[in-house]
Amino acid sequence: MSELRWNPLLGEWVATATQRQDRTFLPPDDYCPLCPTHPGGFPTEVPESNYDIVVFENRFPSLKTVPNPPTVESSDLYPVRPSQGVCEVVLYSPNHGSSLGQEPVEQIYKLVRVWSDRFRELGALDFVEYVFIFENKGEAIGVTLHHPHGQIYAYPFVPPRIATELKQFTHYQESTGACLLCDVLAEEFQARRRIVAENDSFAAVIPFFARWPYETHIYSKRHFQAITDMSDPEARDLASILKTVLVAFDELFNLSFPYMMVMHQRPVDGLSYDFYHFHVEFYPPLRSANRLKYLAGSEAGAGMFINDTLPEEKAAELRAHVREVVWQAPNSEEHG
Amino acid sequence: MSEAPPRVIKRQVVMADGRYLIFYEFESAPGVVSSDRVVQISQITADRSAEEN
Repeated sequence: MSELRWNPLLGEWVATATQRQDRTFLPPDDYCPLCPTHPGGFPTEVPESNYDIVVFENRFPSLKTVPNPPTVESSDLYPVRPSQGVCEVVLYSPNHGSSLGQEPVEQIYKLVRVWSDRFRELGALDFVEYVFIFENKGEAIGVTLHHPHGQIYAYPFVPPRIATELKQFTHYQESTGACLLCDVLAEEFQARRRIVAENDSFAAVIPFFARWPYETHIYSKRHFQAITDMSDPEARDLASILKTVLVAFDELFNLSFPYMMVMHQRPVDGLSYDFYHFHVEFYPPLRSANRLKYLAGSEAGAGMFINDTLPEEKAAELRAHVREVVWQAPNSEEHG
Repeated sequence: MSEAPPRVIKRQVVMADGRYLIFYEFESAPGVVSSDRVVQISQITADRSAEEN
């Protein structure tokens, strides 16, 4: 049972997806459904003995290409619509014990190419208005499968957080004529205290307004709106800076760092979003090696985050763990 | 870092329950689909780098 119900108090859609209650929950490593299917072994989601990167439709989707009719009637106060959309799973690697940060930068580059292809393909569907690429990593975030993977949701509407950003970008451009994020980046380069790492095409920053202690944003230096707008050198630079940030995360407390990673891009509804600016955001829930930042009353009930730390200090901590990213020669690469 | 982008081989299969699954392979030949759970196979071989850029 799945449908979209309108919340008139906040003016946003909520998806019901009761079938997700039955999804696989932290299976033993030997029964990981995201590993390749080994000869004589149990059949996983991937019917081959090896793979490089795989994308498939989620077995337990909250949005479906051909959704069932809603189970409740729509009214003026409570509009209801079918939960049409797409939910994909992206397998980063066949190696069960790996993580995105542990993968070679060449593999992350391949993933960037795959993300780009998925953005293009899903964005071309007539019922899709927004393609959302993200990853939940770690039990602290609530993941049910440890195998390195991310997800893509293709929504039939522009989700509220993106809509808020678009509104802010619009207001800023109307009042100044400039791109909001271009100016944020210029301010960060002037201050430098919150910059964690940079390369030719991207900068990683703990923003001035960070809500999580180690919240890290990756901003493109060039003004563009979507992953499909990138040149190949920019795609490689995105892979490099992702690797840099993820290695620093893991080294920070010498553990596999949990996080939510989200990609903010223009909608795919056919309108012009030239004012918008591509970026990636990480929301790690840890505030120390063994303490979590919870979404409590103020955060969940009022929408106001309270950050117990200073972004300038946390950026310095992460900067101490920035390592040079080394690319292998094209023909010396071995993976999978 | 200045070499040409690797060629992408995109191979899509449709599983028995109707869901699609896409193998993305780079600069290598596609493997062999062996599972009887695959009921339909389509292969799309494309170098999309030109389109992407």
